[in-house]
Amino acid sequence: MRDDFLLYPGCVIPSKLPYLEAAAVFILERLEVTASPFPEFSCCFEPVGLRSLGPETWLGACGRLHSLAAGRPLLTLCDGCTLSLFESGRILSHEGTERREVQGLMRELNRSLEQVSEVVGLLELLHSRLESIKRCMVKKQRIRLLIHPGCHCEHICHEKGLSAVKMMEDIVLALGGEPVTPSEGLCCGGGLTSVNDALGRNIMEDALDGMEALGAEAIITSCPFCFTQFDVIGRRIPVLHLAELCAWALGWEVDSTSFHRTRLRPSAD
Amino acid sequence: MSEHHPAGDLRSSFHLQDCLQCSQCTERCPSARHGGVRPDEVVSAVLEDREPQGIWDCLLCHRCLEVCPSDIDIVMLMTHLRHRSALDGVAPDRFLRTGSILVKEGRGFPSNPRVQKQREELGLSPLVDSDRAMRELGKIISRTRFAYER
Ligand code: SF4
Ligand code: SF4
Repeated sequence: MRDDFLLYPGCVIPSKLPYLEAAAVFILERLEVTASPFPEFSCCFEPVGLRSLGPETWLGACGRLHSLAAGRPLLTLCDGCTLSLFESGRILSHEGTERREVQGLMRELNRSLEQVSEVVGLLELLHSRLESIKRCMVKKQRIRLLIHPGCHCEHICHEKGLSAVKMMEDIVLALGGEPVTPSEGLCCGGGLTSVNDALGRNIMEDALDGMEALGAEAIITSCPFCFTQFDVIGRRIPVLHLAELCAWALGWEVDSTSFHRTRLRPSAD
Repeated sequence: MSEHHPAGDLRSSFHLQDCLQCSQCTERCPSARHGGVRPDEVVSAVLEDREPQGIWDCLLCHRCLEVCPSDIDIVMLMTHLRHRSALDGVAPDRFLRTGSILVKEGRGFPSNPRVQKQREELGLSPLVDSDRAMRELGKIISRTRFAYER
């Protein structure tokens, strides 16, 4: 993995959940990861709603982002962005009509698309820096956590020959926590909010039933959409984002749970 | 059937004739498990030139992709079917609204003054999108078929 990253923060985290961005920035500084801000940011057209409204628009917008990155690896904080950039990169790395069309669009913008970038999500990055995390850790996080990377994160990792669940378990263990892994394939249902609320809720409640039976203190996820779905709509089990847990272990002093809707009860010790 | 993404084109670009009707996709599908879309039936409908049902109940979760023995890209098939429906004016309001917010503001999920204040308190820089990025995005949108609430 090259490590001269460009940090692509996406729309949702900076605009809705800025404390997760602050936690991620803290982690990157502590671990001395080089990640410059993305120049001339624009949206990645997330893969559930926006991509459906214009698959060609999605490919053009992601092509522009790959063009701007000019081969530098992209570090993403949101699994929707990771998937958008990863899947578009795969299409655009092949000679063919789609690549030619996007190259034509780039020429109109006075840009060029020579190569596509590697896309690395926060989970994958943290897992690749486990030793450094252990060295820099100042406060163990003794908490029993339900492992939920989320469908998109799991899919990208699957495509890269990695296991998102295993990576998240390793990180939680390294931070002093106890990972608990529910049955595979549970979905938060968030993609159906305000589209088919009843169906989305049934999918989510099914996932929460399976998780609740395991008796953990909170869910841990790396996806801001799953995070919001469990925190704001589910409200049965508190949820932490991977960036918060890792940042606290490295000495971040912000009590970001004050921004959560479903508050984490302080543990007995 | 719609003139956008004709069924014949979808059948060949997604090599749907390779579908074994094994239903492994549907067994893995969280939406189908709760009475939502059945991906195997969506594939059959396109093969038989029928209107596929439940395409907006798909979560685009990619679970089906991981098990299909014929490597059928159900996610992109679903995406193109949704695009075709959106171009014909049928799409959930939530998505169309997000689309028009993106066209106006350059991001589908824009910030607000409360979040801008939180950013300041957290030591983050204010969110400002560059004019050039907005112009370029506008051009990409105008050159491609993007369906949104106008
Ligand atoms: S992507 Fe859609 S069809 Fe495939 S498993 Fe997920 S919800 Fe079902
Ligand atoms: S898993 Fe693939 S081959 Fe089997 S029914 Fe679904 S689309 Fe067809």
